[in-house]
Amino acid sequence: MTFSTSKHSRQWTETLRQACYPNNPRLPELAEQAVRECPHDPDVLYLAAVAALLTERPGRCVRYLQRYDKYYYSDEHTDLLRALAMAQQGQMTGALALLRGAGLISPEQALYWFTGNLLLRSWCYDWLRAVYEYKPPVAKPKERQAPARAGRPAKNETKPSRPEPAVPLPELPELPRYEPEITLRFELSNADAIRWDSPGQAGEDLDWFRIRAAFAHLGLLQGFDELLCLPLLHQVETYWYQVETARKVLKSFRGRVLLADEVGLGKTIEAGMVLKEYLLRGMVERVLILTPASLVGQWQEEMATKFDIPCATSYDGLLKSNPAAFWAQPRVIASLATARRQEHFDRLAQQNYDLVIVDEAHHLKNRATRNYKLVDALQKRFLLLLSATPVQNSLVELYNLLTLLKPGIFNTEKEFRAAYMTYGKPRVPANRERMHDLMRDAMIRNTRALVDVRLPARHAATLRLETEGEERDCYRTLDALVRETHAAAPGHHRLALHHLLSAAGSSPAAAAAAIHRFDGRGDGRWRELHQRYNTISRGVKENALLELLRRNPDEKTMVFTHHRETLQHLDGLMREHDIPFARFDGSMSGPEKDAAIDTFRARAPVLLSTQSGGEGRNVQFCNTLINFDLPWNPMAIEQRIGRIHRIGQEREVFIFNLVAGETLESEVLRILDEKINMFELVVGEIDSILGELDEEQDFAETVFTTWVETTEHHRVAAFTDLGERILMAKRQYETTKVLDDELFGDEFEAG
Amino acid sequence: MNQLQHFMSMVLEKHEAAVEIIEPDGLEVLVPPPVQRALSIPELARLGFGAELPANARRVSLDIDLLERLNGLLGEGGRQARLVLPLDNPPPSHPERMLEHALELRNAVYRLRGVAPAWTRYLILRFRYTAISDEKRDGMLDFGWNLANRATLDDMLPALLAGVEARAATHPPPPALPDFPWKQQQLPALLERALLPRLRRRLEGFFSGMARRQERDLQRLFAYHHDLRQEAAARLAALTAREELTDKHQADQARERQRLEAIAREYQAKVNDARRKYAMKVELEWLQTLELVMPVQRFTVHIKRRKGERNILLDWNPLARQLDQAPCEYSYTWERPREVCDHALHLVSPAAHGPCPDCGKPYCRACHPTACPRCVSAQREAESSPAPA
Repeated sequence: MTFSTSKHSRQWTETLRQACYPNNPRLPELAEQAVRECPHDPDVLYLAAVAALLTERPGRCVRYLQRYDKYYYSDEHTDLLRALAMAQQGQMTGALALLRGAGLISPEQALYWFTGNLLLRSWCYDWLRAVYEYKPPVAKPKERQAPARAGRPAKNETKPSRPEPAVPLPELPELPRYEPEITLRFELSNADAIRWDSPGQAGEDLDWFRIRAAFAHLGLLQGFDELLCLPLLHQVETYWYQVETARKVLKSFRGRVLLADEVGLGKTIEAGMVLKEYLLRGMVERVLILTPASLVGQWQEEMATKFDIPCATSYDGLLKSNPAAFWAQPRVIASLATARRQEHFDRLAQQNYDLVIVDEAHHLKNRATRNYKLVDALQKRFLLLLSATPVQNSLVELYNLLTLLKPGIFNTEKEFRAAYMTYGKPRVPANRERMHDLMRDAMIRNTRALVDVRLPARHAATLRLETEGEERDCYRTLDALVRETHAAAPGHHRLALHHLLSAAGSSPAAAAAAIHRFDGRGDGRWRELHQRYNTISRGVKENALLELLRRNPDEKTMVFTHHRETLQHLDGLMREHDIPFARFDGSMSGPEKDAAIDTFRARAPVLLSTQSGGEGRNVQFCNTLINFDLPWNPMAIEQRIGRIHRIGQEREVFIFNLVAGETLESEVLRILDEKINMFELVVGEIDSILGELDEEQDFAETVFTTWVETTEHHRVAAFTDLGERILMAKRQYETTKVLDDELFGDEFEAG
Repeated sequence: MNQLQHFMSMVLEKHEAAVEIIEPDGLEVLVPPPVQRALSIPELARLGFGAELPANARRVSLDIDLLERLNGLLGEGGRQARLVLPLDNPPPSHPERMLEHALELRNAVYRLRGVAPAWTRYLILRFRYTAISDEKRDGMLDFGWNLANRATLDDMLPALLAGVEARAATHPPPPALPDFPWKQQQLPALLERALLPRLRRRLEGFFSGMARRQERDLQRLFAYHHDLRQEAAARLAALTAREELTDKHQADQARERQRLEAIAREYQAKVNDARRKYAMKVELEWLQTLELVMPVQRFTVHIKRRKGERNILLDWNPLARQLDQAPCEYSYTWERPREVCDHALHLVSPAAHGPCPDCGKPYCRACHPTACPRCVSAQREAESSPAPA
């Protein structure tokens, strides 16, 4: 899409954009007026065409598009509108043919080319589904036919075609199939130099011996055959293909590569290893990591805990108070959405980076976007692009990504299209072998088949529990106070309010403690609420937990909670009911944690744990997990599940989610469980799905904002809207995954 | 201090340079003329090794040029060393159980005759290997023998080398140490037999990666040429099915037949190319030898096989706290178990006592390292018997 240039046009574009929603009675008139005022503006013409479709005036839409075609090249954006116009005119087959001809083979692919807010995209998606699912009516057989004359076929009767006689192929000896066979030749270059005889006294100085040994190791380090980083990783189980990948990136790709491993194989670990290696060798000092907003926190945590690389993030206050100082820091993790903003773009383009890492790099697939322009403008020595789905709609996306890594790899876009793309089929390569040969210089893609990752299935059940009496009333009161406090000073106390809501969703004990810490800055209502919570000895979730544990008293079960006070409360509950248990939390020492796991393994059927539960330890002997409360961040949920659903787990994994109704957690679960079936996704897929969202905040923040900034009346719609966005993201991801598997196969593996 | 910085500090001090650590990640050095020449640095130099350099320091990074200069500086120093470790050597508490655990003989019986303190000599060789196939892989391989009984040290090596790192001074060697049991000229063949399987094991991942790639290439070649052949065969069949063949049709037929033959030849050539592409060559370069002299507890084990019997020695090492694995006196493999040959009572692996691929009769490779004795004598008989009239 091109962009409006003049201020006048931009104003009309904005006006039309805001007015574009179905059944807006003013829309047709506004569109006409906009086109009169800006007759050649591409955005105005596009939006006017959309407006015409929204008000079901396809003829008008076609006229606007005709005018657009007079001044600008058509592309998939306008093809889509044209197809919708045909659909509205009842020409479904024609619409489908037009879409397929443009290479848009599914509603999700087509929807990608529609510009609009969620409401409009929903409307568009409904029409697209109608087009793609359209089945033309079957013609009824004619009842009367003219009688056949002898020797001639009847009128209206087609001549039966004579079948071609099958011509047998000549007998040929089969081409032999060969098994792989690697011959191995051995050469000992200096056997004559080997000495073992000592002259009767001590031979060489031992120091010199050690120096030579160290020198030999340096030789291997120089060639990256030995990696310095491996012994320095914490709580990371590295797999051979990850080490191979890191080695290859350093040795063969010289730090510029597209890491396109399938989901769940650890691209972050691979990128972290490369970064750590460069840091240890002094080859890199300034690092910028660009990610979707939803993954900033996760990257920060992984870099710090696994690689001992502390990084600033774009959530730090310094970004707002002193952006120059923020971006000058040596290691920064920022969301793409933040970095591409005009106020930061220019500053970033002037920085010199040694290494830039871009996660979910398919957000750079379009050269016209600010994302792409930002990464292209950055001055960088090494560049790692990470994406499990690098090609979504067209091979040109791959061209764009690989050109960022190695400019000129495919010459110009025009030459690339001519040499490697099939006309009318934007995802089908014309010269596959040659293209793959070039791609091998810039891309690594490990597959699950290569690494033989087979995990058993995981199953989830959600217990929605209705709170009653004081527990319900307290939550409502707390919710109201949180909204009021937020509304009075948005942005202030955000973290504290976030924590209050989360604690209230966990347990009355956690809520009481959180309120006590918050204290409402002198507002007596908080104190009163604190006292009320203190009177609630047991909430509805505790009873459900006991019930679950009683069902299979001998089955090993991990019970997770986010809040220490809840953990303490559950500790008391287990003792009260004589349920043997072990307790694990982040404040324990290493030996204490080991002892807790040993107790869990040997004697206790239950492990009560905070978020860090089982981290770095083998708990795969357990296959049942209860989420007593639910983090708002799906990645944190995934991490919990990942403690037991990992390599080494041999049994199917069962996950139980306890959630109180009418709470924020209930809405989160509705989205994650009911909308996208998160608990049964493949490990790592939730990251990729959330990576599809181009939000400016992470998911937990989005959820909090949606909850506190909407009234109860609008809350359902707001969460439905969020759910739809995630569902779209999931669909987009699924489509792309299938297509990428077909395109890449297993030809880019590291090993 | 990073590795390169530490190494430079060691080397320069050994060459009588004065070395001082400076921040960040740097050294200030005062070096004698030979070092100045070798490293192309002035007498007083400030060297930086990290991402951030100290003031007025020159950057020293790990590149080929530096490695070559350092190699020149090292010369041939450090190739050999002897270390005598007079460790405490208490006798093991359950020697029979230890022996039972360590020694597995498939076709013989054994008995522990006695355990006594002794001194032994370990020879540890360090090699650098470079494996070249479609990709290159470098690494280091340590290999060692107990010269008293020719047992290989595979499982013990990490503990022994770690023990060496921890020791500084050396001591005079005790008397009566075992000699090196082989001649110099036997060494290459011996090392090839011993090291090749160890290299294969070390390079297993690399090997299987190359095999996987070759398999994919072969499958692609087959599919491509198979399709080409099917197309050519279909054209030939269509021509052959005609009732009347003109001269042109006959010429087309001949051409299609030639095309089929050409496709088969091209396929074979491409397969051979793929084999050559992935063929692996491993170059091994000896780097160092370490002779480790230390006390052990020597187990004398009596072995009986049919009417034959012999004693072997297995040493229990106090540093590694392990008993030697009985050597395979042909291949020096680390794999267990062992069999005893009937002729000289050699201890060999089952593979080294297995059937001859030609005549199918088992024979001992330690007794006959070059060829199966039956096949050799059958061949001699055939050569010497008179030709039929």
